[in-house]
Amino acid sequence: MAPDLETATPRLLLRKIFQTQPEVSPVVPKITEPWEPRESGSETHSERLSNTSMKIQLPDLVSEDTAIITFHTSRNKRKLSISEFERAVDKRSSQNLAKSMSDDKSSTRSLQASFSTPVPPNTIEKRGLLRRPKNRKTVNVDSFEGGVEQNLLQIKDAENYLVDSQAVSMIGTTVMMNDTKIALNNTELFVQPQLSEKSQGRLSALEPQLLARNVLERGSRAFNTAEPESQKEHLASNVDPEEEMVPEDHEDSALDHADRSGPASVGKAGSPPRDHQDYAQQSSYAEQVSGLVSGIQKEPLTLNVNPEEEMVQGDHEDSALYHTDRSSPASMGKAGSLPKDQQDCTQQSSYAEQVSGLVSGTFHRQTLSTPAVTTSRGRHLGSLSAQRSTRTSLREFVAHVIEKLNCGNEDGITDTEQEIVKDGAEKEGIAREVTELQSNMEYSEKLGEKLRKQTTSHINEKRQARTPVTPVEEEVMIEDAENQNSGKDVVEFPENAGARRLSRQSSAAFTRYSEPTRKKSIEPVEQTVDMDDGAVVEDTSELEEHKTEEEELSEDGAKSEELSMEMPAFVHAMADQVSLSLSTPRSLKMAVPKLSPKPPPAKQAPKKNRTEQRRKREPALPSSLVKKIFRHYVKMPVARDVFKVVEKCSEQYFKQLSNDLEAYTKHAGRKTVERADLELLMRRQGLVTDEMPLNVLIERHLPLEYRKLLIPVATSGNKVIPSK
Amino acid sequence: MKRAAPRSTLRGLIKKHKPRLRLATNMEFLVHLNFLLFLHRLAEEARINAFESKSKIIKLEHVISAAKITLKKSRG
Repeated sequence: MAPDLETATPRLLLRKIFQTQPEVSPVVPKITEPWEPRESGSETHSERLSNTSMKIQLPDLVSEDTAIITFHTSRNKRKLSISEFERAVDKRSSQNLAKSMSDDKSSTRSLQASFSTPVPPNTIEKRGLLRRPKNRKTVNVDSFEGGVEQNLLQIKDAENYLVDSQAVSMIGTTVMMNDTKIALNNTELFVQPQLSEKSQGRLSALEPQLLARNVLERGSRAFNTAEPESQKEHLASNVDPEEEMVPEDHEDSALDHADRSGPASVGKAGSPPRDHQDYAQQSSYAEQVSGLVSGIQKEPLTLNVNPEEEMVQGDHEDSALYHTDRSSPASMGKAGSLPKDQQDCTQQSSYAEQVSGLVSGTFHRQTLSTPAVTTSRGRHLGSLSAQRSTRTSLREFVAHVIEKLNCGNEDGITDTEQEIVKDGAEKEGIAREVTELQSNMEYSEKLGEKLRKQTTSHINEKRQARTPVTPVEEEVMIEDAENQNSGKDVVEFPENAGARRLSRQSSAAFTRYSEPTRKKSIEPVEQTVDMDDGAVVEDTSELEEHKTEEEELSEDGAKSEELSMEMPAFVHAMADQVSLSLSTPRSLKMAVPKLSPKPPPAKQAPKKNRTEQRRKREPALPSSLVKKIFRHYVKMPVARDVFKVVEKCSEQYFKQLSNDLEAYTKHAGRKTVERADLELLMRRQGLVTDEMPLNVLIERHLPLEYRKLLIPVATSGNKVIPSK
Repeated sequence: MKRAAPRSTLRGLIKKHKPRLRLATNMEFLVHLNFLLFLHRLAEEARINAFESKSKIIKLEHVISAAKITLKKSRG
């Protein structure tokens, strides 16, 4: 009151404002409202200054409005705000207020000033307002904060109302601003960190991304395998599902073998039957695209055969295909037709059908049927190698024939006959191949020798009389080849079959052919030819002594001649292979009874082999990498089957590369390929020239990390990276 | 977006063909570089073939003929 003259000067007022200014929280502009009315009289000027200055903190859009609003509200709500405030204050600390009022007016005033505005504590502008009771009680922090929050809410409402017309971003900013305000308003000593929703969302998003990356990396391979498989599936789409079993088997095992990462070379759909080791191994051989593709395209051989058999067949077929490396026309249909007729027998019968079909059909047919035969038998034999498979296939082929005879399925034979007539030319090829396979087959040599001896004479005698060339004969021919390798098989086949009527002929041819085939491996072609006939005869004679060899020979003679003529080429091959042929367990008898227990041991063994084979699988570049790089370089849409060619091309390239590098290092008298060798290689390839040094290429095409490793970089401090 | 060069795979590949041959340190990258340039050449040739046949897609025959030429060129 008294010092009005001194404190009322504008200069002093302003100074006090500046002094008291920092005490006011810039975030709490509205706090001034309740106090404004009280001190409006004396402090309007400073208040307004402070208010406006404080409100500068508000968003510019709202500042003006809020400022105006505050003023208005302050005017209008004068009484209300005062009453509310007073109530809160009274509740909290009436004593304190009294104390403060009485004891330290300056402190209270300062507090009041801090709350309300940067009002100089002692300035009383207007006396008129002095009559207002200066009940400046020390405001409790909680009430203060509550009031602040209320003010903020009011501000928010105003802001939101104003912001509705704004862009969403603005809303976001305002929201953020509100959040920050609230966060800032939180005047607790230790604010617990709270993850905002956004940050939480980001974190959660990162995790799945990381997981996805890992999954992708792991699954990339799977994808790679899946891709070629899918591609293969396309190829095999036309194939009978039954057949697909077989190629799938091949493909899958082939995939496993060749390259887990998905060699696109194999062109077969993959539905891996994991039960057969042989297939797995065979499939590895069978990976080569062409053969598989052709195999797939072949009609289902055994529509009526058990899926197992089919799988076996297909498997063998592929392996056989590869071994023989033939791509005969796919006339599997015939083979398929044959098996249809025979369903009486068990697998054997089916094999027989297939065998007959093969005989009449193309080479593939044969391989198909033979695998069927061999698989049933061969499984027991445990042939792991592709050769084995082919041999077993031959055995099975023979078994088929025998079974046919046993089952007495003349239909099949007649069909085979018809087909034989049809495929005269093919037969030759087939016979050759068959004989080759047969040579691979392991037959008991005893039988072979015996048969040969006996049948040679017979064959010569009966060749003249042969006209109806039963497919059985051919089959027998084929079987003979098989018999050579697996003599017991031959013996057992007829034993098992037990058919004597057709078996006569078949057996005759059997023995005739078996013997020659056996001998083929040892003797020159011509002799083998004769022996073949003889072997067949002998076999039959041994098996069924009551058979008239002459009849058999006569039956088989004509055919045997033809086949024998064709045999020579194969005989040689078989001869070579016989030495390599594995000794098949001479337990066709065992094999037969083992038919039932086949699956269990077959499953266990293939599993082991498959995993083992996977480890032994040849390394190959991941096809996805090759695809990526090629796509990046070609910059044009690429057909899907192109990648297989690219993959093959790269394999060939690596072969060339390793050869060249070895030549260079040897020339330099070293055993380790050095940088100079590679540079020389690139120079000779025309990649590195006088104008284009190697380092430039490195810098262009390799990422930085590798460049650093390859090109030493000198850094400050006489440092060279990489350090030598 | 390029992937890392499969160092161990490259080493394994060379070993598969030439088991007695050794590779110096970091030589896989030069091998990888060589492979990249080979694919580059192959892609170029295929693209040229596709252009010549006025096709907008690289087809099998384009690539096969390109491969023949490129493999011949890449003989050291």
